[in-house]
This record gives sequence, C-alpha cells and structure tokens, in this order.
Amino acid sequence: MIRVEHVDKHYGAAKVLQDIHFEVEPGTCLGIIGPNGSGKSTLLQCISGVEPTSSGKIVIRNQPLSAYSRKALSQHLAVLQQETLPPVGYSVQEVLEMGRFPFQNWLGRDQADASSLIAGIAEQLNLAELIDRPLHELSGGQRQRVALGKVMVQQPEILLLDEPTTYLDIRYQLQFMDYVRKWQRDCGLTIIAVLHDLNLAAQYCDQLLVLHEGKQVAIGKPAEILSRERVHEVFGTEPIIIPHPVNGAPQILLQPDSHETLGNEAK
Amino acid sequence: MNRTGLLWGGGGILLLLFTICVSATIGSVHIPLQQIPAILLHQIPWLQDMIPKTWPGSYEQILLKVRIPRIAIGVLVGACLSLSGAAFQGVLRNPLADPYTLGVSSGASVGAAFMIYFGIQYSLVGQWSVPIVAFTTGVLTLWLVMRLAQDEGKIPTERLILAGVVMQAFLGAFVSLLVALSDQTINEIMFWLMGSLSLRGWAYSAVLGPYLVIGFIIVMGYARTMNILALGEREAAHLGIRVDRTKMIILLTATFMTAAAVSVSGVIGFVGLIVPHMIRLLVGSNYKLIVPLSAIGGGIYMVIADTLARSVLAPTEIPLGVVTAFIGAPFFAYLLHRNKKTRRGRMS
Repeated sequence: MIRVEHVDKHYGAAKVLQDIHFEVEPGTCLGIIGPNGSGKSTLLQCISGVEPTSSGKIVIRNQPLSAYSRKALSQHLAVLQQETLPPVGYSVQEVLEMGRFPFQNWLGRDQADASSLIAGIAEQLNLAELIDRPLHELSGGQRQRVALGKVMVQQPEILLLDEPTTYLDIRYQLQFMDYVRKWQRDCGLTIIAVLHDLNLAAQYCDQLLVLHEGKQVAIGKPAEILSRERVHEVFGTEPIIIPHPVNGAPQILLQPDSHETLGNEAK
Repeated sequence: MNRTGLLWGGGGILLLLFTICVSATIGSVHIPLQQIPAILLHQIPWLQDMIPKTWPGSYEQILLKVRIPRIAIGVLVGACLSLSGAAFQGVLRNPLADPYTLGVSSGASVGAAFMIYFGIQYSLVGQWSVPIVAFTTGVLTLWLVMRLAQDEGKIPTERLILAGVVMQAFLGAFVSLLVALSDQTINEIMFWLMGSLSLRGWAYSAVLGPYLVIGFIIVMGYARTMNILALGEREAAHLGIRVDRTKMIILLTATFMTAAAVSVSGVIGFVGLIVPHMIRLLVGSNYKLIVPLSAIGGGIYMVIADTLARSVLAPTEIPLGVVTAFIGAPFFAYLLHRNKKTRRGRMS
C-alpha cells in the first residue's frame, strides 16, 4: 500500500530525515514514535505530499507519490492534523461537506450523492445533534470529532494521523482512537499515525517505527519494539515496562527521577 | 442555502437599483424619482415606443451625460474594491487585509503624484495619462512586493503582508515628499489621493467594466476554495487544493481590479476593508454569498458615499475617501455591536 524507499529530507544543511525505508501493508496501522525533533511530523508531511523529499522515493498504491496531482492524491489519502479545526463560523454539516471537495468538479457538483454518507457518519460519531451548530460553539473534543468526520467523508484508503489526540483528555483520547480503529476494521483502512503517547501507540498500532534524530532505529511489533533498553536509548528516560493486564500490550510506567537515582548516577 | 442566496442577491440588486435612482434625483436640478426609471428605460430601443415621453429634454441630458455616468463609475469602483477586499481577506485569512494591503494604492499614488507634480498629467494621452501611469506603477509595486515576499517558490502569508506594509510605508513617504514640495494652494495631488468620481464620463466605465466582470468570474470560481482555505492552508492542501497557486491567482486578480479602480478614481479608502466585513456580519462566512454580495454592497456603498460627497456641501465637493470613512465607521460599529448582542442572546 505504502512503500517508503530511502527517503532523505534536509532543510539547507540540517538533515531532518536520513535513509527512511519501510512498507505498510493494506489494512494495518503503523505508529511512528520518537522524541521531540526526531522528524516524525516531517516524515508524515513527506508522505502526505505537502513537503517534497530531498531524495528517495515514496510509492502509494504502486504509483510514485510525485505522479499524483494534489486532487487525485486527496481522493486516496486523507490527513488529520494535530491542531483541530479553527473556531470558524461554519456549521458541522458544512465542514463535513467540505470532505467531499476532492470529488467535486469546478462547479461544486459531486461524483455521487453524498448526503446519506454524511448523515451516516454524523450518526456514527454522535454529531447528529450538533449538525447545525457552528464550529466556534463546540468544545475542542467535539471539534476534533468533526475533523475526524470530515476525513471519513473523504473516504480515503489511507489515513495519516499527526498526533491527533494531543489536545484531548483521556476519555476523548480513547474515544477518538476507538472511532479510528472501528473505521479501520470496517473499511480496511491503512493508517500511519504519529503518536506521542507510547501506551496508546502500543495498544492501537500493528507496527511501530522508532525515529531518533532523523534516523530509523527499529520497526516491528509493539512487543518487540518497546523494550526498556530502547526506550532508554531513544527517549533518555528509565521506564518500567509491564504487559497490559487485559490485552498484553507493553505499557510504560513513568518513573520520576528521585533523589536516590540521582545519587546512584553520581556514583 | 440556494434560497437564502437568491433572497440576499435579489434584495441586494433591488437596493442597488433603488439607490441609483435616488442618487440620480439629487443635484442642482431636482429630477422626480418616478421619472428616472422611465427616462432610463426609454433609452432601450425596443421599449422606446411603450414609454411615452413626459419629461423635458434637459432632464434626459443631465441624467445621461452627467449623473448616470458618474453613478456607473461609482458602482464599478465600489464593486471592484470590495470584491478585492473580500478576496484578500479570504486568501490572507486576515481581517485587516484590504485591497491596498499589497501596496498597490501607494504604487499607483506615486505614479499619479509624479505626473501631477511635474505638471504632465495631460501630456501623453490626454485625460488617460494619469490612469495609465498609476495603473502601471501600481502593478509594478505588486511585482516588487511578490518578489520580496517569495521564499523558495512559496509565498508565506506573513511575509506577503509584511512586504506590503514596508512597500506602502516607503512609497507613502515618497508621495508625502511630492505633496510637501508642491507649492500650489489647492493641492491637486492631495485631491487625487483622497479620491473623486467627478468628471468621469462613460469611457471610464467602459475601461473599468471588463476588469470587474473578469475579476468577478475568477474570484467567484474560487469561492468554494476560499471556504476551505478558512480551515487553514494545510487543511486545504490535504483536501486537494494547490494552495500557493490558488493564492497567486486570487491575489493577482484582486490586485489588477484594485489597480484599475484606483487609477480611475484615486485612493478611496475603507470600502474594500469594511463592506466585506459588513456582508460577513449579515450573511455568515460562506464565500459563495460573500463574494457576489460584496460586489453589490460595494456598489451601493460607493453610490451613497459619492452622492453625499457631491451634494452635502454643494457646490463644493467633499473628497470621497473622507465620506466613505465618515459614514462607514459608525455603521460598522453598529453592526459589530448588534452582532455581539445576537451572539449573547443565542448563548443564553
């Protein structure tokens, strides 16, 4: 579905990404993890086509990314950003309709009638009661749900998520990831997600890719990737990792630096 | 949605026609309101026989040679400026953006001031000398601003606004210098700068008309795209929009319209800033409505302003730029106040 071949990206002399190479199977979810400044978001922007790569190749659905026009690409690939939608005066309905933009001709006519699709998605995301409310009257969590609804209306085969849960509280984080997972299972969606929260990443992703200083450190199943040594090496913290009591996914417990360990390090 | 569009559009056009008729009655000779549509319709060859001529010939002369040409250019200038203003605000996503944001007006002013200062305003092609030079220097300024703002083939909005502001300040100083140096008692440069529609015959409308029509079609074609741009440039790119290309096309279109309007009427401030905002407060944030209604609203606003400019202190004319600000600011303040109240009302 998506193949990234030896991608480099640099801004002037600064190398942001070096020799990134991986493949994502259709219907699976790849999580990209790594500390701040490791190039996660840049990599996602390269895959979404808004940032050109400096060298290397990205192949989507057996076609190089550069062969797609912006519009053709947006019919197959949707992106959900970290910042939720701005508080503008559009109603929820209007924003959901905007998800059909890639399928409309210059007069605004759609290839297919999308009204039932939009109504179904609004129902599924519990947006039906909010449908006529303007965005600036909604809470951050509700707006992020509208943003998800908009990319669902876009009906992509590939979804890129850029830290979509950053500004949500834990309840909405879980709710949001559950919506995405349900959508993935229903439609065979392929997902690449940049995630800050390692515990969420371990539970929702089939594969994890670890970036560190622009380089690819490891890729594999969460259980193989999230080892104590690797987290220490990449993030520079000393974590405790235990399997989740219900689903067995590796979970990280944070351990504040107490005086004891500071003392130990000094020795 | 379509019904509201038709309602607003129809209402707007009726209001525009009514404003035109009322404005045409006012002047040194009063012409009765009910006769104005009759006189105008009488000019259409097919309708000529159906409308009996019941007015003195002098009325017809005054209307067709003096008042209507002036009203026509007013409608066109107002429509151009506020359409451009809507486009600028939409693309730059900045509420303070107006047609002059990219320095076009100061560019045109430098050209005009230069011509007037050296007394060569009728030298090259008669009355068209100043408009042609002003248009050229206006467009040249745009080119400079774009060059200044460009960064690796992209034009970031912040850089564009800053480049425009810098250019405006620089060229504005140049114009001020010319004003200060000129020793006429009635400063012709100042008058040009403050804008006027007097003594503009049909020819001016014929020149400006095509700019408005083509500009309107292009901007209207991008109305849906501007709606999506309101969600942010990244978001728009992810929905399949070529953001930089779109920005370029709309900004160039709007600027050409502005340069054309400024070169025939001088720098009339406030219209391009305020009319789109008024429309937005009335109908919401949908550009499919904002774009056409801004054009109509700009026309209405300019006709009212120009009527006041030529009638309040007649026979002295008040500079048009002064009137647009004088009536625009209080009205805008009222709309802001009303908007705040209705919003509170809805929340509670």
